[in-house]
Order: sequence, then structure tokens, then C-alpha cells
Amino acid sequence: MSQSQKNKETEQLFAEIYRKHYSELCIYAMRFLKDEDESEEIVQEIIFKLWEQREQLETVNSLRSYLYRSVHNRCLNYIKHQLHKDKYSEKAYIEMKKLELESAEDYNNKELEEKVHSAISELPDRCKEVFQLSRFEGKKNKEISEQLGISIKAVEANITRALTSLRGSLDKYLKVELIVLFAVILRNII
Amino acid sequence: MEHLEIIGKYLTEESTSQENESLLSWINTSPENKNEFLETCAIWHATQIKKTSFDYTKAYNTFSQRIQETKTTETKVVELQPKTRSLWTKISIPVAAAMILAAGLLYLYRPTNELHTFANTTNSVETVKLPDGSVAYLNKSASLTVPSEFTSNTRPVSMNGEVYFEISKNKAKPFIISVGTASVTVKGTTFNVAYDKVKELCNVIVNTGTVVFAAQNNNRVTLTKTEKGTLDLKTNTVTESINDDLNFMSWKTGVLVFKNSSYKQVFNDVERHYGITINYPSDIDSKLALTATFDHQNLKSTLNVIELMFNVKIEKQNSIFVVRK
Repeated sequence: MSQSQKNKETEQLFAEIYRKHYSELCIYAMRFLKDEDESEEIVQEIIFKLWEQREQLETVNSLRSYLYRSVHNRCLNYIKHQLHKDKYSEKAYIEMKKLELESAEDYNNKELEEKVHSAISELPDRCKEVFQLSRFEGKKNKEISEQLGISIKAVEANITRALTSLRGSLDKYLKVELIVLFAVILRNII
Repeated sequence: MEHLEIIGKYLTEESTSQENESLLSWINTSPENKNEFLETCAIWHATQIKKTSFDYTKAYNTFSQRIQETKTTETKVVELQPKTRSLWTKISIPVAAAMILAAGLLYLYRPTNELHTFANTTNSVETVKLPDGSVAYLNKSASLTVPSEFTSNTRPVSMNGEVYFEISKNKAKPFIISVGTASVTVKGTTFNVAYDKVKELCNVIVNTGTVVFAAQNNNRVTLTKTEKGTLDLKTNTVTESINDDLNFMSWKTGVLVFKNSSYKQVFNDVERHYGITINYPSDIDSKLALTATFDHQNLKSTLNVIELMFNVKIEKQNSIFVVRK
């Protein structure tokens, strides 16, 4: 293959990475970082790194999982770094973010998403409103309390209530998931 | 119950360090607790703001510029400042310590004619005056590379993104634009070139004069006023059509025009003009059409008129505009 042909193929591959994966990778990073710019920067950096190593691209098996894995690790590093800069180094917080990040490798659970969305529609009005402002619009508790004219305590209480209720309605589904997981583990052992 | 409250606070980033510590020790008490924590997080993340969309085209342009800079270190990058009108009156050269060595090497092997890259990193249209008196208008994220002088018997430049050219006449020295693998050759005319690397499409729309638009394999079309050439880089074919895009220059003129345009066309042009994303339901009345002129209108008043004309509601949800009946 000629060099220019190879260059063109690499260029097309990267355009495709942006077209197919950029947005979803940023959304994934937003789970842990909350900050849009920071998320975009991390994703850009990862794709640029990939470009720098483009000669070894053939050795990357699944590009998508590789990209997710990288975003995942970067986010973890970023969180650690942030907390390090912050002189109140919160070990507990890092530990929990780490747990969360580790369990969140299942980044594309469409079934759970659908279940959760239908469970949200069953929530009581005020509770639903608070939860949606928090999750869909990314509002802080303080902003929600100002917008709805309720106390911060009430916002917190509604979020707890929503989580309790969502856990309740998803209990069966989550249990089934665990049983399936168990069966898989068992099969692997036997 | 109490731990769910703290998990809620943790997830909304409102928990105190004491609360975090007590939550962590609760998690570590039993596998069930850990499981409950992780399940709650999973539920929380399953409701991740889905509507947020990131502009991958813009991101790709940034990336593309970055690798271009890495590749061609011999090209000096001059970043346009918002007020910069011309390179020749105001050049800002960022000098990094690491560049000194490179500059020394460049001096030894210096080309007789330097290349300058103008990258529009601002949010508005930027004007670049070229050495032959031609003018280029760079849309957001566009870039243009030109020599400091046109010394040969052609006027070669290269570009990325979207640029409108007003080329001064010089029959003896054709003006040649390299864009991706294609080239656009003119003698003196005004026209728009838009190159979308992600969609692998390059469009040339002519305002006045004649333009030759050629693909790498020499597949070419000659375009005149109101004609449009489209190059599909996947197949390397150039096709010619009558330009039906009323608003191809709206980014430069600030004017959006609709003449009995379908709602799809309207939303499409508004999206492009204001750099926003609009989602509309699939069951919208397909007969909806709009005739209007928006002269330097802001987004809000444009959307207001569209709401009234189409009898819809347009609401902003995160970064996306959603149309409701």
C-alpha cells in the first residue's frame, strides 16, 4: 500500500471515530466529571494519543472498547489528580468513584435505560420534577430549590425518595441481572 | 434509608467528607451494601442526560488542525485575533522556548517563500487579505494556508472548512485552491468553498464568474453563476447542479432567506446558521412552509417567528432545541 493511500485511510478512520464515537464518549465521561469542557478535552486527548500511535493501530482489537477503557482510565486519573490538588484529599470519595467507575464498564445498557425511564414516569409529580431537573438538566440542588421555591432539604428528600422508588420498581430487573451474572460465573467455574 | 439519602447526596455532589467516609464504611460492611450502592449508581447513570450532544464536526476540525500542525512544523501558524484584518498589518508570532532551536533549523533550510496558516478560532467570520489583493472570508473553524508571495505562475493556496473567496482578476496567473484531495481553479471570481471532512463532501457554489472544480482523478466540472459542484470524496466523483441552497452564504452575510421553503429546509438552515441542533417530531405537518427574511436577527427572535408561523413550540433542552406541536 502506498504511503499516501495509507494516510488517506488513517484520515478516514479518524473521521469515522469522531462521527461514530465522539459524542457518546463525551457523554460517558460526563458521568464522572460533570464538566462538559473537561470531558471533551479528555476525549480529544485520547483520540490524539491514538493518532500518535496510529502505526500500531492494527494491534487494537476492538476500537470502541479501547476508547471507552481509555476514557474510563483518564477519568479516574483526573479525579485522583483533582482531589490531590484539593488539599482536603478525600480518600473516601476517590474510593467510591473508583468503585463506581469499575462497575460502570457496562457503558451501554440500553435495557436498563429503558426500564429506568419508564420507572421515572411513574414517580409522583414533584419527585419526578426534581429528579428530572437534576438528571436531565444537570441542575445543582441549590438551583432546583430556587427554581421550584422549595428548601434544599426538600430537594434532597425528593431525590432520596426517587432513588428509593426507582430501586423498588427495578428490584426485580436488577435481581434477574444478578442471577444471570451468577449463572455465567457458575458456568465458568464448572 | 439513611444511606440512600447519603448516596443521593454523593451522586449530586453535595455530600460532606464525613458523609463520604460513613458511606464508604457502610459500603465495606457487606457485599449487599456494596451491591446496593452500585445498583443505585447504575440507576443514576442510566438516566444520564441523553440529550446532550457534542459537536463532533467541530471537534474533528480541532483535531485535524492539531495533527496538521504536528505534521507541518515548517509552516508557521498565525492565529487570527478577533480584530486582525490583515496579516500584513499585524502579525503575532507566539515564540515558545522550544521553538528557538526549530527556528534555527528553519533558518538554515528556510524556504524562499514562507507559508502562513490562518486558523479562525473565533466565533465570528474573519477576513484575510491575500498578497494579490484577493479577499478570503473564513467561517468558524476554517483555516487557510497561503504563501507570503505568489512567485510562481499560479496562485496556490490550501484550505479546510468553509471559505468564501473574492479573487482579483489575473488571467495569466490562475488562483488554485487545494481542498482535501480536490482542487478549485479560477481566474477572477467570487465563490464559496465548503469542505466537510467528516461527511467527506466538498461543495463549491459560484456567485460570479467561472470556476473549474476538479477531483484528484481529474474528474472535473466547470461552474458558472448560481451553479453548484459537489465532490463526493468516497467515490471521487464531481457532480454539477443548480444551487437551490438560498442560504449558502448566510454565515457571511448574516441574512437568512426563505422562499416557500419546507420546514425541513428551514430547520436545516437555522441549525447551520446559528450552529445549533434542532430536533423535531417525525409526524409534523409536511406541508408547512415558510417565506421570510431574517436580517441579522438573533436566534431567539428567529425562533419566535418560526414558532408563530408553524404554530409550534420550540424549547431549549440542554444544548438542543426541541420542536413540539
